[in-house]
Amino acid sequence: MLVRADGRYRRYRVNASALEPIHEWVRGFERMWNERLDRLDDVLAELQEQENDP
Amino acid sequence: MSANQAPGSRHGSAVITLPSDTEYEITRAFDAPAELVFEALTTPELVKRWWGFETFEWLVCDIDLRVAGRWRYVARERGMEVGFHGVYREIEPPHRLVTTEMYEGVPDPKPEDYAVNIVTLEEEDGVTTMTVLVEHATKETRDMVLASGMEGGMQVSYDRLEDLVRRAA
Repeated sequence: MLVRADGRYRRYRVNASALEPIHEWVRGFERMWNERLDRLDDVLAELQEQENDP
Repeated sequence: MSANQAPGSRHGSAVITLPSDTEYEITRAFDAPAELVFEALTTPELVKRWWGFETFEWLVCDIDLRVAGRWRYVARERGMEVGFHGVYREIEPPHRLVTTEMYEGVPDPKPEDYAVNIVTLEEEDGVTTMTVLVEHATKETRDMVLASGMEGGMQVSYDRLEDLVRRAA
């Protein structure tokens, strides 16, 4: 977001593409990545458990 | 355990955004040091435990971790072989990893057809935020990949991707 002070006013400009809503058709892809990264999360937790508890 | 969250409590927290017409970005935090996350991204024994799908029967997981070194993942998924490969462009453990990526169902890919994955790891108070920015050559190929999670699964979308690339060639 860009902010420009202009006298008494402050102008805001929002990058519209950054706020673009994730449409329904991307939901499945998002779910797929969530499953993948949840498995990574589990692997990281297990590795740290092994480190702390040899 | 440290002050980190309970195991599994961050499940489902990955967020996807579309920074431009040809990119998508995935952001996810992990209760682990950046070194460990980097290791899990670049060690075959660890990659095989999380990358792809849970149903993956791994056939190849090659990682030649040096700049210009190749990586290649091949797995059997629902009776069908799927393969991906690319090259490591930047390796800066534990904060940055840049690779190229191509699905092997695409016939005769040109260098500019490869997607570029920029992985950034930022650690703060024992929590590492991973950002994966994926840049595709065109909006069409990016949208095909984004649609791959739709009903019908990966195969349908890969077939469509193949058709699309053939038509474009």
